[in-house]
Amino acid sequence: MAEDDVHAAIRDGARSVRGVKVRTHAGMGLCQGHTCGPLIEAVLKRELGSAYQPDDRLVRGPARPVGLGVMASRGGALTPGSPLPMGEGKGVRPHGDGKP
Amino acid sequence: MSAASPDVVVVGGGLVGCACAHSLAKRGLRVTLLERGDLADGASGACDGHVCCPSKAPGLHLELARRSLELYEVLSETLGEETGFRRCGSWLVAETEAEWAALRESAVARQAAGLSVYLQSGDDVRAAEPILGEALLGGSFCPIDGQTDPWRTTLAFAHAARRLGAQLELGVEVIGVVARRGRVHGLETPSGPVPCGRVLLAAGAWTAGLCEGVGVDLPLHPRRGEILVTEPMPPLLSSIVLHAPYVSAKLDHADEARATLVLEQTADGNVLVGSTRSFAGFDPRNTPEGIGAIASEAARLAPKLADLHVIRCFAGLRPCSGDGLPLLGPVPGVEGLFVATGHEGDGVALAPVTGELVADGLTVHGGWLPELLPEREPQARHALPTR
Repeated sequence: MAEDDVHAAIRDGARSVRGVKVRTHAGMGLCQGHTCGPLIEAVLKRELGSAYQPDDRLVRGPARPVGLGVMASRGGALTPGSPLPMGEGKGVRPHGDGKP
Repeated sequence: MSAASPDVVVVGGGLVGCACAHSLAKRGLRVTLLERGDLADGASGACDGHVCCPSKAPGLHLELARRSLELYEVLSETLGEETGFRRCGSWLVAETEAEWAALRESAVARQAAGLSVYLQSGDDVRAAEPILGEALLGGSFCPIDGQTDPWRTTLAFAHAARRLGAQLELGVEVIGVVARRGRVHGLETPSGPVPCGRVLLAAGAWTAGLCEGVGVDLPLHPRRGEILVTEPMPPLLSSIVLHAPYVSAKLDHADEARATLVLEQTADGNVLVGSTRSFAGFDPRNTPEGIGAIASEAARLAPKLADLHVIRCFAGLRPCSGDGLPLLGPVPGVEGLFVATGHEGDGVALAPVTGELVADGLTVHGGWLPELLPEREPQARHALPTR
């Protein structure tokens, strides 16, 4: 997506990163906004000033992609703050969707 | 606020509120919509996009879904903006002999009601949707069902309403309804009162709190539904898929821990894997139990899904009326106050028809459906938790 898309979202009423996400689907790729989130936030702050609204929403897991089979076997253990050890979770190699 | 006093103020910028605002504006009413956050901030932004008929009971519920589906078919054209709706068909699938017997019976009842539903063997189900596993005994296919994009649909309704002259005021929280001598006079907001003689509350599960403020106990409870999102994949599913107990789970208010599998693949390629139903107040967090239960159901019924990565979990608070039907109509005892809520998990499926029914109710004398009135017979409701 381009910065123009953020401007269009702002014209439509977006005041937060989530508002941009709903209108552009930014932040829905594999990295879940880790890359585009801060960039979008910077544009929002610059354009909106005090009207910018920080997202006070919940941080949703998982912190990084987890195999669904692993979730199935260890769902109860996947509490916030107890992430899986690195390298666990078998799975097909994720591919991006071409979105930021 | 805008200078001209509106004919109706709609409270809530979710899919139902935006659909109502659009329908009312289309009938020529001056509409103002107040939303405390942003469009699709509540349940409409945390749900799947199923527009499914066979999951509805024959009778009014099924007829509402069929009418809504008709409206969805042409909605992108009606609104002048793409909603993401596509007719994809739906599978209701059975795992146990008991589920299969109940599913056959329910398919017969729906065929009798004129719905196209075809019973298929487990092998046929797997041939149609290879991601489904050996555990399934059979399924019923409904070719007319579809899926939509709840965000795009909400935005499309909102934009179309705006083009028809509706004022959309985002970031305006309604603190309370102003009523005197049994009549609505407007709404209270942090920036002052909004005078209006007719108010439609379409604030999902939060509608009950607004009614409480004017002494009305609306039979409505937030019911949390959790959903997992996988990494985007090439096409894996051609239809939406629901495990048959999903339908009965709606009216089973005791079975808290259970997840029933529902699947769809979005236009972006992500598979949405749901879902749970639990009464947890207004707590929108995901739970380890809910996530684990959904993943276990998915891994058992669609083992190939176990190889996919989950990239996100979310949860939405559905407005549960207790008897499976929405609450649409005037609030008893407060003239000028109306509600459109209580859809629980049917908000997406029934939003277009809800807009139509609300516009009928507010513009046609005697236009509300008695079966959906908020004061309908309470014994029809199943036991709900105490608030």
